Formats: sequence, structure tokens, C-alpha cells
Amino acid sequence: MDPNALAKAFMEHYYNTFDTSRSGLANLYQQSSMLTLKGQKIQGASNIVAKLTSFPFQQCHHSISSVNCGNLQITGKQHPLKLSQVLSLSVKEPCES
Amino acid sequence: MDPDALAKAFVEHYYSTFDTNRNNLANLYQEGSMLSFEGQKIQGSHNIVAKLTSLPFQQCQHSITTVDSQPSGVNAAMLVFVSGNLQLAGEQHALKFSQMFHLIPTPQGSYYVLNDIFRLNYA
Repeated sequence: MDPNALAKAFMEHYYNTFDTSRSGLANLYQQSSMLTLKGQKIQGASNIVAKLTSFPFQQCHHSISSVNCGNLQITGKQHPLKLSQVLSLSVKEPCES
Repeated sequence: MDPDALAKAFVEHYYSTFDTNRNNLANLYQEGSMLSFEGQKIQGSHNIVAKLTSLPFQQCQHSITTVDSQPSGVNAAMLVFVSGNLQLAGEQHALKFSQMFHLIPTPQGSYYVLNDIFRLNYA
């Protein structure tokens, strides 16, 4: 798959999962993953998802206009917030099934 | 050196060099480096610097709002994510931008930019 198409598909999956069920993001991180959120560094999938699910809003919607630029609309708030995010994607080893 | 301090020093060096003499940025890239500039992918140090020196302004000033860095997996490589304002000479309002650098250690004990992604934030 073309890297741009793959990145776009991943992005849609990531933000759709964030907006509908943040716990589902646990599948996208591993123990070696790190999230820096507004300067705070959080290590490991369970800590990252605990952080993302502890936000003081229940519902939100991301609209992404370009790589590293978008809007975050929080339910009940009038104006969207602008956001930038970098995701470094590593190949996941296939599971034995 | 602490990784956050190293990232901050790199960022100060990069934008100071950009704002005073863009040609000198050639030292920070290699032939394997890639810049995505507003979605356009440019490969190699020579082509990257040609692009940066061909931008339609002669003078600019970057002011940095945030710098975040993380180790990026192997051999002390780092991801650095910058947000800030870009003031062009003669323009009244600064433009907002964000930029990501993937820094790789060199055998000489320095760092070079392997991956560089730049976007203005106007949407």
C-alpha cells in the first residue's frame, strides 16, 4: 500500500476510534509506546489509554485537514480547538493464529 | 545531554540557521533525508536546501511556542515536534506552523535530520 494511503487510513481509524470509544485505542499502542500530551510524557499502552479516557469531556469529534493539523470539537462547546499531532507508526509483528 | 535539552538546542540551531542563512541547513541533512513541505516530498540534502532557498521570501523569523521530543526506538534517535509562528518580512500577521523532525545520531556524535515534515496551520 502507498504510504500516504496507509497513513490516511490509519488516521481515519485512529480518530474515529478516539471519537467513538477511546478504550479501543489500547490495541494501537504497546508497552514501549510513549504519548506526549501538552508536554506530559506517558509511557505504555495502559497508561496512555488511562490518560485519554480521563479527559474532562465524554464526547468529541476530530476533523483533520492535513497531516499534523486539525480541529477538535468538544460536545457542548461552541468553538473547536485546533490540534497538531505526530504519530510514529512501527510495523506490528503478525500474531500466530 | 538530556534528550529534551538536546532537542531544544537542535531546534534553536535549526531555526536560527534557517532565519540567517538557509544554505547552511545543508549540513543538517543527508542524501537519504526527506522533507515533506506542505505535502510536497523532497529527497536529499541538495534538493531540500534548493527548496528552502527558493521559497518566495528572503527574510523570515521563526518564534517557537512548543518543543516536544521523544526517543524514537533505536540508537538514541529522536522525534522532535515543534509548533510556532513564522513572521515574514513585510507581512503584518505571523503564520502558525508545526514541524516534525526525526533526528538520527551521526558517528561524529552529532545529529542529522532523516525525516522532516512541515505544515502551516491555517485550516
